[in-house]
Amino acid sequence: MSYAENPSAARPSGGSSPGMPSETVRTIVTLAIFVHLFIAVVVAVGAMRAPSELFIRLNLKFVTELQYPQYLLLSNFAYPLTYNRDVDYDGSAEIVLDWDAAYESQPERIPAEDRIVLFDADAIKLPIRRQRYLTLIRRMTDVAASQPPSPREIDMPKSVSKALLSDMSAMPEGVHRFRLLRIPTPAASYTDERQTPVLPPAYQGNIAIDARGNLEFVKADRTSLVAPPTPSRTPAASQIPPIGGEPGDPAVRPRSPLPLDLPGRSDGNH
Amino acid sequence: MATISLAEPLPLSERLLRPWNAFWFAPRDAATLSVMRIAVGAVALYWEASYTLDLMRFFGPDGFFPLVDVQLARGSTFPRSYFELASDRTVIWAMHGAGLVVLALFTAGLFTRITSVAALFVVLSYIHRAPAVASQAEPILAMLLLYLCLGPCGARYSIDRILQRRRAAAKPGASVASNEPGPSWTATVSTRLIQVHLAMAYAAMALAKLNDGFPLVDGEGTYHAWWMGEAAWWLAARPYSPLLDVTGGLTNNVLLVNAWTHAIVLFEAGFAIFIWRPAFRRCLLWVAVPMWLSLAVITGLAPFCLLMLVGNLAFVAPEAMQRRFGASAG
Repeated sequence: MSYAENPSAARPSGGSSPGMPSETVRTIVTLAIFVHLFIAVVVAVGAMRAPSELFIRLNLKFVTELQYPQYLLLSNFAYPLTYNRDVDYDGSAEIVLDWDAAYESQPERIPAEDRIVLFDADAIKLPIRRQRYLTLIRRMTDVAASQPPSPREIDMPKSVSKALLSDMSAMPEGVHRFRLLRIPTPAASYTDERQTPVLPPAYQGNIAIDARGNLEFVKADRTSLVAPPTPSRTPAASQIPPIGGEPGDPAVRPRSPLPLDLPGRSDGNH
Repeated sequence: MATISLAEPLPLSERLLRPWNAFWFAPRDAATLSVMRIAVGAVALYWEASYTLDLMRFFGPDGFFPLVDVQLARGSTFPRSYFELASDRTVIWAMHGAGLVVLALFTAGLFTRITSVAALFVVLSYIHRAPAVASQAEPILAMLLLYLCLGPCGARYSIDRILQRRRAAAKPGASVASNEPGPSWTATVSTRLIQVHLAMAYAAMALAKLNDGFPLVDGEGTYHAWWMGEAAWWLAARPYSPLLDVTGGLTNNVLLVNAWTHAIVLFEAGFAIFIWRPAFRRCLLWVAVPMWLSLAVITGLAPFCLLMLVGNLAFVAPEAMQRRFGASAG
């Protein structure tokens, strides 16, 4: 058998078969697939640990400048699920009404009725809702621990505090304290006691509300926080190498490790 | 006249193009995409409905995320969410309700060509308005919805299909066979994009896990949660995240924790590579079920794990779907 009768017609170009689109359409679609998957690979690699300068620049180009919808591309994706860094811990956020400086060293003295919690894990039955609050806390912890300090480190705690206090019948006048807390995962070796080391807050801010209900938020001094006792198999919080950028910005250049006197290194792809 | 024998080797361009065209453009039935539409739509519906109790906290004018902060963080004031156009609580509630309706219609397969695009728009609106609460599930959900938009995901198992049959039955002389939805190359493009993107996600997940390692507190060595086989414990022992507390069974079972951790990484790495081999495909797809369900239990990321399972359906042949759910159903 041969194609001798009518070579050009009998031998379709590129393995074309019935039902396939025309060659022009295939070419256009092929180009689109190439471009899309290329961007997808660049963004996925860029969201991983310590990408190269080339990937950082390509990410900037595609995600930031071209405004390619990053949520279609698996950026901001916490691929590893956990490294057991402090940012991987579950956490909580609360506002302590009428903050007393003595609470700093004796948090157990904080009256339960003066605590306004971001979410009550026992009360929220729907796991997906609980995960959203935990994600929000991780994001705030991420931003709070970033070096150099992010200009956004006040914005989110401030707006969260404002919304939480607005839920009350009236904005409570006085000085209150916003606290981001981390709950270290117990190591298997001491899980029987279920006693976990207590970490200092990842972030604290003072909320001042005047008689007219105006709210002012000022970050509490980080250096007043004490380094945490951590289990020996837990990565040193202050020595964890950089993973990537701030949440929402996969293209930020990796940061240098934090100085040792800082309370906790939290960073990464949450 | 020159003759071209079949024995003659094909030109290089032909040899490259044939497998490419066969992979991306050979028409296939839309049964797989249609089943995926129902599954993705159901998860999306649950995902969106779960915002109801926190709607004003996350999207309200006095909520956690003031619009100006969100726009500042992403570096653009161009609206990427319809919630950015609303500042009134009633309007936000109406938008939420409309979103639920759109996702319900998409899941049921009514006006699927329109509702598939609208469903993607709805989901992205939620993600972009409150990105700080988005985690692993959202990128997978958005990715699946995007690719479902491209193919005829409402061609089977949908209200569209039922209506189409009724219209055809009303026509005199129409046969059942002529009314069957034929294979479509857009179904292939859509399915292949899901497959490739999903395999990429699996590879990235495995690489990220193998890429860990941080100095220990005492400075002696480096800690690798995944390499040392302890990551499953660290996930399961978190106080709030897990769906069930399984630490009781893991505490004195180091080998089980190690095996579970290594199995997760091995599976993810293996999936990205071997899912393309038909001999391994069935096995990997079945192993994925306990893998993702158990991960859902210890991570609490149920929608994410379910969506990974739904994404895996892209590797199931349309013929198998038809055998399972019926070729002529809805």
